[in-house]
Amino acid sequence: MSAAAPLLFAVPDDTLQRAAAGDHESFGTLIREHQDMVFSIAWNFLHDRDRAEEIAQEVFLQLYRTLGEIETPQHLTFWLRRVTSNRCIDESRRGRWRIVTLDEASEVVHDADETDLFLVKKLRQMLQRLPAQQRLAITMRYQEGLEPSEIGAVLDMPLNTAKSHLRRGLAALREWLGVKS
Amino acid sequence: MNLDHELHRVLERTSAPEGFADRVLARLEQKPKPQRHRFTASTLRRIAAAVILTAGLGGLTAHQIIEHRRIEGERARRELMTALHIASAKMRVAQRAVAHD
Amino acid sequence: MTRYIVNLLLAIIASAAVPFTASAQGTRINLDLPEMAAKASETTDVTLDGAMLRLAGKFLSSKDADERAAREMINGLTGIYVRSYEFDHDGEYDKSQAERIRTQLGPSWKKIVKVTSRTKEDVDIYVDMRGDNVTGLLIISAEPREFTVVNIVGPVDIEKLAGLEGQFGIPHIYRDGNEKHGKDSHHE
Repeated sequence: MSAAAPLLFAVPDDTLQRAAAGDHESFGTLIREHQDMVFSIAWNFLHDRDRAEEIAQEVFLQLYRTLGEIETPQHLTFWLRRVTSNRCIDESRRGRWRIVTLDEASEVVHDADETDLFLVKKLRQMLQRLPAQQRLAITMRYQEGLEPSEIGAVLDMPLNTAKSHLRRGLAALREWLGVKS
Repeated sequence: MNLDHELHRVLERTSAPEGFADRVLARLEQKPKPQRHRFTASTLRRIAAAVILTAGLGGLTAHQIIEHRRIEGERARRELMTALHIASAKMRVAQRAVAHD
Repeated sequence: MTRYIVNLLLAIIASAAVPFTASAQGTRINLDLPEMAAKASETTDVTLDGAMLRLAGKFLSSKDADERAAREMINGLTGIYVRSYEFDHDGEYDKSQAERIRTQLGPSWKKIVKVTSRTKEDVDIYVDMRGDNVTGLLIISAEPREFTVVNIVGPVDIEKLAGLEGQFGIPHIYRDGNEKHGKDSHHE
């Protein structure tokens, strides 16, 4: 699902309010609207489906406790991206995750033939080598389609720092993959 | 290889595991564990210091003071890591150049 | 021969490094280049004096290898300053601007490395020596689209700093509950 798809799952305006009032069905609607985004951020960062789901679940449980502070659907999206990113960084600092090697990786790759599959796995492996902030900045850019200013806001860093993380991360990937800029 | 194109492809959103929402809701239904608040001596000292500061600053709550310090500290930590990344990368350039000499 | 001389210099400096004393205070270099900043498309600006370094140190995680290494690095330092200017096209900045930084270096500063490349990156590395003590480091890096200067004030462990990049971004390898360091945790 791309960042443009959410229209299929647009929720009524009062879903936030009803979820904040304790309506679990409404909260379930919110989860289903945003679960792919949250899970994907964690998955693209950690490359571990079990840990990614655990983080995604924790994010929504935290959301449930914080719903009263969420003002708009846009605020909700921002909040989810930020909290998921923070939890990914916390998780990486615990050192409880592992490198997935080319042999071990098993994932669904969209529209890939065999030669593509190797390249995709190689690129995933290289992404895992990036420092956490660079990896998150690149995820926000390419998964979520955010502009650098939005990336800075989500990751709570100045615009220039966000741009720098993007630039350095992409430069490192190009160097490791032997790709000319 | 077009890196931009490949990154869009590799980092495309993927579906959450089946039944994800139900599992989250199931956890919500579980009885919450009782919260125990334990204040260590250092926590009490920090709170006391924050209260004194609050009286002096006339308005900021203890929570705001502690939160401000945490935000500043995290920002400083991120800047430090950025600086060390940059410095070590440049050192490595020099090392590689010397190694190839 | 060059490699021998550089390695000899690094070995001498590394072996001579002693715990920082107040009498061997390094000096901060002014890294600001306003003309360059005005032309840059992006600027990275890090200014961490003693107080901010100490604050940053309190927030470093002891469970993360990168941050443990960082904590060791900053022990005793009194400042870390970075200015990095990035440009959209080759040759957009005036390399001679670097002279404004070099002219600040007094007789205690020694150039230990000079890398010159026609197409890639020029790097000059200087250390501030007070007797046998390293009290500062200056890196000047010029790429076609980026100019970066780094000034570290205090007793810098140069070999440790150069070895850091091998650790940053390389996660722990975790197999069967036994924590191991990846091969890049040491020099590559």
